[in-house]
Amino acid sequence: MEPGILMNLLVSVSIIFSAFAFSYTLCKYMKTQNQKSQPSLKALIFFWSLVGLYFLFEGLQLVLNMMGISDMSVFIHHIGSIPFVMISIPLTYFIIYILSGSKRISQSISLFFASMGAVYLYYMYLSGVSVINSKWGMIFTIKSSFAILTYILGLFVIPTAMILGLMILILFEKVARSVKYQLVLTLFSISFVFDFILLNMVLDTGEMQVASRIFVFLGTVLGYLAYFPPKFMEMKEPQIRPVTSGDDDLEQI
Amino acid sequence: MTLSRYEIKTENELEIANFYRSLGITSGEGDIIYRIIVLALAEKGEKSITTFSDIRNYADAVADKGNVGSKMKTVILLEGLAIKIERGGYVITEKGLVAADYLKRSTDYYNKRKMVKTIIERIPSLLRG
Repeated sequence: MEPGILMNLLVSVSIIFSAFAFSYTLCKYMKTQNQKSQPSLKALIFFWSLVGLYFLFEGLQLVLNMMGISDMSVFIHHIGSIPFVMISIPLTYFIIYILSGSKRISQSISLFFASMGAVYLYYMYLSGVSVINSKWGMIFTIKSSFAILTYILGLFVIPTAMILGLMILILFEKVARSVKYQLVLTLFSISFVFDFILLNMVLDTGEMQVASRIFVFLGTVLGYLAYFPPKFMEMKEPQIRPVTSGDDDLEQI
Repeated sequence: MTLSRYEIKTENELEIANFYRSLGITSGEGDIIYRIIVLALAEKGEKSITTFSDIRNYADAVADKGNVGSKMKTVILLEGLAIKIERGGYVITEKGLVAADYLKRSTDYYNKRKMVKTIIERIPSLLRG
């Protein structure tokens, strides 16, 4: 057994567990949300679930590769491309809904991205993939440059620009630090994961693939830290002490 | 300088005035009668006469005639934001146009704060509940 494939599998499994665990944890907090924030939380849960699902197929593909069943590996990779293209749908819904507040507009724009994803899948399946066997696992390279272009321009650039736009909007506004920390870190983690998933798809060396997956895992951890910060990072609220008699400040007034 | 593009809606102005009152600003931009009078004067501009009834068209929903008249005398005319041309007829001065411009900016600031507040409400937060 190649240690590289094992390493690749270990990283993929880490992403699967962390992404699904994060989604599950967010689900438990659904009832604490008001009506306005529930749709965006659902989109966030869907996003992280799709990340976990995509890497589940990637992990399965690695296991089949280790067992020597290459044909099934390619088939599993094709199936895994479906959650891969769907990742931008909840992402755009999340951002558009936060900005506009309209479910209808968010759904329409998400539908546009779903259709772009369908175009990508069509050209990918039509032209097929070329397989490179490396000591880190099978590297799949899409033969259709149009499919790659569709993904980059249609599914990657626009959502990434939206993430940056929202991040800048909130960073420069007078909002509570805890809100700023949560949203900016959430968007940063989503962008991190999104960027390295794309890199994972287009790279043609095993080492870079594993490196990009490590960064995807780090992005997932950052997303978790956005909502569950460690104790030393928790925002300290100013201590409000009750008024007592003999308070020197009050006596001066 | 006129505020022809600024549409005066009494309910909106009341909402804005209440916002500033909640910040402890009880006069000027936080005073609904002041807002309505200055904006109504600016709507006509410095070349037209604004009648008391023009002002009351907007102000009647939130204040009575006596309060509007009192504010007109004790603040608007006294500070030189408008001059009385005839009985029940006023014209805004340059100083009044400056005040009106400031009120418009206070509306823009309120709208921006409102937009940010509604955005934050839509962000899922585990600190709620």
